[in-house]
Amino acid sequence: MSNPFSINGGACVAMAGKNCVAIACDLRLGLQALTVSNNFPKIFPYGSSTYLGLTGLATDVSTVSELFRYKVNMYRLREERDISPQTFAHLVSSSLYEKRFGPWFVGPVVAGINEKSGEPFICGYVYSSSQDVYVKLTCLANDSFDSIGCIDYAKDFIVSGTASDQLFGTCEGLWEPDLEPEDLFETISQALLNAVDRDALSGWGAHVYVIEKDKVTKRLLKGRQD
Amino acid sequence: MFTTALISSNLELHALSTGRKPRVVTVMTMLKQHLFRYQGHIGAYLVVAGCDPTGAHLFTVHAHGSTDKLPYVTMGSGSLAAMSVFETQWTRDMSREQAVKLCAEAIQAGIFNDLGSGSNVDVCVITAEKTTLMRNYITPNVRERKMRDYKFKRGTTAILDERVVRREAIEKYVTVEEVAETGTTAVGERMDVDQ
Repeated sequence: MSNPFSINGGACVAMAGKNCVAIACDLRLGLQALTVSNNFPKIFPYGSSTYLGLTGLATDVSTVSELFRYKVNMYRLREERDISPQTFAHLVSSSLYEKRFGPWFVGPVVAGINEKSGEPFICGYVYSSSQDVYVKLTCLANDSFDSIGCIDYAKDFIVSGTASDQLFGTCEGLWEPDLEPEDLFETISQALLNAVDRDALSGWGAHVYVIEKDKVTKRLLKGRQD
Repeated sequence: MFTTALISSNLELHALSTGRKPRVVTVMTMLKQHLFRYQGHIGAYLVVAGCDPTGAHLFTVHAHGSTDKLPYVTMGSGSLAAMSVFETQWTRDMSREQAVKLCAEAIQAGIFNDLGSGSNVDVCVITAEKTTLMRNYITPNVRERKMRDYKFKRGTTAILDERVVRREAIEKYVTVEEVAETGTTAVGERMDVDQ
């Protein structure tokens, strides 16, 4: 249980719909089995329609989210425009690879709509085994995988966090192509709520963002508090 | 991915400084020296193939920096399955069509016989003149559409709070002011991207 990815717990999921995308996360912050807070959001905005979800080690979630706030602010000052989700995905990728031999223990999920093309965009980062971390954490036999920057593009959905196995199950079952924003909201919400109820380290409420071309809707879900 | 991007940009610089077209051996040597320096910690295993002024070449490069030069190569977890196809069917001086077919069959052997390999076949043909990448050349694993859907009725999920941010709301806080080209206000140099 000294895997940095599963000390604090948490879950995040993104889904693509018809001219819209949704990204959702739970709100739990824990120390192993003890819940410390039920108000720890894992989704951060980086522009009007670019969002980043971060699961994993909470200290790294905070640090990395602030690091990208700095990097995106610098991008805005240089370019005098918002960062597109595609560019942001590459920024995340190179920032993760920068820490190739001492990685951030986070599982990022990028979701947004490209303002120029209007195309929905979601991506995650593939977990690769890092031998250095493997040596340091010898108690981990099959769990020593870190995301170090390989982009995982998807047309359907991306999952991340300690409930990722459960999310894969619910998303495979519930997702379908070309969902309207309202239906996408129900789909992603039910996928997340039912996944986190099957994981002891995730849950305690949820945030859901539905991103459309001209508006973003943020909803706080009623979830089980046990 | 980052290793190949790094080598690709270094190779471009090398070609610019020497004024010659880059050679396949050069790429292979740059890769092996980079990977050997990292003693296997950069876990890149590559097949290097290409045409240059000295002919067509095929190499494999392993993460620790060792290389092979062979008439046919396979790599990855499906390499044994793929190699078994090459070992039985490969012949010298095959035509383009024959080579593409054999490569696709070797990959399919990996797709179906190795649990770690799967989905589609990409084929890339490199000649001295041009390179053609045939993405999803064969798609033997197309996913069926789900037989049922489990669409939830709108309003199923209980909401405690909702906030909507509209694009107009963001624009409300921004004032756009046209500034004259010449005049009392200083005009900055126009950037390339502005045109």
